[in-house]
Amino acid sequence: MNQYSSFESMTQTQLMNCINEISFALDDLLLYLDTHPYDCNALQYVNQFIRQRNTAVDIYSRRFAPLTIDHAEVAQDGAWNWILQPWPWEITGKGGCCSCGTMKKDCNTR
Amino acid sequence: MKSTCRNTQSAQIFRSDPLASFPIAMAYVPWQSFHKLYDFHEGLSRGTIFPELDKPFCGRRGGYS
Repeated sequence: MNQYSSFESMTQTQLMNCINEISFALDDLLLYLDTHPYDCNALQYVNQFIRQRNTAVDIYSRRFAPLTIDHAEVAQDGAWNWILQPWPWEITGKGGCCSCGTMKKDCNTR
Repeated sequence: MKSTCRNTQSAQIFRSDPLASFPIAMAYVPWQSFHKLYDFHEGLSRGTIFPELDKPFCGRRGGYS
């Protein structure tokens, strides 16, 4: 379960949706761990979820645009592309609007 | 004073309440244990990754049918 195909071959919209889904699952699991901090099964899943989310966010940032300030860099053309790129909810395409989850300014981070 | 209440519904509900022996005015939440999870897509769609917490609102109060 919870295996996506390749993040490298996804469209921007598909990858954004994946990041939203993984981020939601991770947040929900963290709520469980708040009351069950020693649950071995949950801890195995949380490690897996964090790895997958980090991978997806890294690839999205490299292929498209930074999602968090941790991935923002000054581009070679000298512009602050962080503010020049479309916001996640401005990305067009079927199912492309993210209704919740990872936001550009990292609202989803605890 | 003799009661004039003829509605027996509340007494029936009380008799079937599994928490009837507990002190009143306290909230009790059963402890959650870890079972299977929804996959990522299903989790975001349902609003939880825990199937046992997937309780859509159906427009009725839980203890009454």
